[in-house]
Amino acid sequence: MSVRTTPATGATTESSATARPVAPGRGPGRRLAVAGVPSALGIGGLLLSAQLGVWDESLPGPGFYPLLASALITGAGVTLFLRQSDAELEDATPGETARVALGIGLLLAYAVLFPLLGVVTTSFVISLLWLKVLARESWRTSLAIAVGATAFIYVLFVRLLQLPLPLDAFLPR
Amino acid sequence: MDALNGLTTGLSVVADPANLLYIVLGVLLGMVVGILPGLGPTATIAILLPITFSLEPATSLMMLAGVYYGSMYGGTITSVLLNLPGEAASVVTTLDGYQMARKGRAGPALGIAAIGSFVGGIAGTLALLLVAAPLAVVAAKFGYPEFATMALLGLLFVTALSSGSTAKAFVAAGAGLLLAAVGLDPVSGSPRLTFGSTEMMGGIDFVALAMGVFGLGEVLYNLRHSGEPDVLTRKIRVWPSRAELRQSRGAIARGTGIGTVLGLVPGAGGTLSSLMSYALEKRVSKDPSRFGEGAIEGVAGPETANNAGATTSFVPLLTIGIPSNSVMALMFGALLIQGITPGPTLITEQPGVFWGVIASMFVGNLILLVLNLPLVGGFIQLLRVRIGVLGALTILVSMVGVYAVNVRSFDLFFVVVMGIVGYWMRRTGFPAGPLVLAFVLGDIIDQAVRSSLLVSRGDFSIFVTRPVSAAFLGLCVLVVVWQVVSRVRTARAVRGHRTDHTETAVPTETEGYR
Repeated sequence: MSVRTTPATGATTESSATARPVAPGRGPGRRLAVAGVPSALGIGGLLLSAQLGVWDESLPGPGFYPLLASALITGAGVTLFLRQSDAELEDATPGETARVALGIGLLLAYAVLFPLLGVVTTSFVISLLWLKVLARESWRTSLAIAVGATAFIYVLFVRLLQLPLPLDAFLPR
Repeated sequence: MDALNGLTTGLSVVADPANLLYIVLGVLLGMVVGILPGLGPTATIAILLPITFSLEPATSLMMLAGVYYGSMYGGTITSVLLNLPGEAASVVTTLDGYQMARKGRAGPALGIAAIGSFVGGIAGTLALLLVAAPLAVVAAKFGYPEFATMALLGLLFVTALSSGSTAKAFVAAGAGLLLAAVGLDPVSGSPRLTFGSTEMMGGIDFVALAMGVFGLGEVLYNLRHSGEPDVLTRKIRVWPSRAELRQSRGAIARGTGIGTVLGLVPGAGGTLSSLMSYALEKRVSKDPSRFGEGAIEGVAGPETANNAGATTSFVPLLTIGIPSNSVMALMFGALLIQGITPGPTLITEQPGVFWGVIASMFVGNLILLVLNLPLVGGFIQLLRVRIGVLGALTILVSMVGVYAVNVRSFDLFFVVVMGIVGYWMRRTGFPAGPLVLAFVLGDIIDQAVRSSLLVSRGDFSIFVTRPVSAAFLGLCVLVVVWQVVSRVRTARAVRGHRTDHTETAVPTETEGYR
């Protein structure tokens, strides 16, 4: 039962993080999750840095510094591959993984809705869902805290700090 | 009397009612997050960064510093009462503090910790006051090669002292260095690793990175667990007895010394100081068997040391401009968003910030002592706050805050991606501290190495022919050799007795990261 934790976010997903309980430090899936991601990041970095130009004439080029950083990641990543004891991944039940995925979904929804609906509506809706669905609070508690938290955000960021945030249609300008 | 003039300057900054208010707010918030499990000082400071944007530079740094040392006091409370360290530096406090609480001596444990923390904090601040100005004068003579090698040394220290696997710490540090490369090349001005995105041209935003990796990463990680801790509601008598005070005197004095000195070492800060103090107390004790059974010295020493260490870890940041742990990296970021680049010139160009922060620590520690002794019972009630509720408030403050820094929607998505990275790192045991610190140091290293090589026309000998730079490089080599030697030794010891894991199990976490 392979549980994918994250929606499409590129290199940072851990699609191989299976929830099957295996003794710590065993199993190819785990090792891939722990060592494969850094190794891939390092090798990708090496290739990109090489394209930038590592050394021109007698001086280091734009790719010089990223190349060193990528080499460090690659070296350490490969070491992780070789040393099995380091390839540990905590067990997560499918339920827990689903909660984290939902949390990420709510954060992304916040990012999408914020410029469209404005700070107050977005904050209220997302915090209400977070409290009700993720924190499993009662409707009454969730509503009370969501209203309180949204009011806090409005007073702090919009009124006191007067930051240039996208305001909801119903708010005074 | 530079230090005395400086202190006067600093105190006049602190005396501003607005500044005093923010110091109080900072230390209170620090206490609160130190107590609340699930939100550490590093995450809190990261989340506060956008808010400090609208404050004066001195005010912002004084408040953030207050959060840091305030959390050192707060973390003790949960360690003693619940066996739950609220932040990394309080881990050893659980060993004897919780045992004292189980034997009905929670009050004296908390009291002695508050007194020790106060003594350590004040001694550390005094050291900061005396050492900072002379060190800044020396650092002002440093050139590019010295900065490059010093930043490298700091990075090596932090990575070597990080908890768990060194390879993982190096992956994290490498990733931080690589992220720092994104944006325009500082020498040629050509775009690097921007993938054609105009938002990435200006480089990765430090605030979004820190808030994502520390703040949102922690919130996502906490989603995996639910439930609430048992809360002790009994009234607690906090003042230690005279006999207990006498018993702790030596421990507090030694803890002060250890913390003050170790705080200066990059990567050590409060966490390593408290571990070393505990080890020392156990060694000098006439009856070491009492340790782990509720010995008050085992609480007094480490609590003193961690506060002293947390305080003196400001020295490298304020005098040289090199942050020595992840919290200092955040302070560095807080100054950068104010348009101030920390460095040896800070003391002359921003005397209000430099001396103000130092003076604020005297005041802040005093406030904490006064708050701590009578109000411990009230603070404990905070543990009733459920972790999911805290998460909801955290995501709102994070998302709104990160948008406000640059006023662009791109950062909203970027902070979520960094949150996923932070979550993934926690799940797989990669320390987040080295990543954020390397991100800050990476800019310094990139610039300083490239500029050094411009001066020397591509000749690497510039790093070894200058004495100070050569000395820093020599220290780098020593750190690596020491790492390898201790690795081999541990491996041998483990092979010798398979059950003895004490040496590797010690939680020498990078400051601030849990």
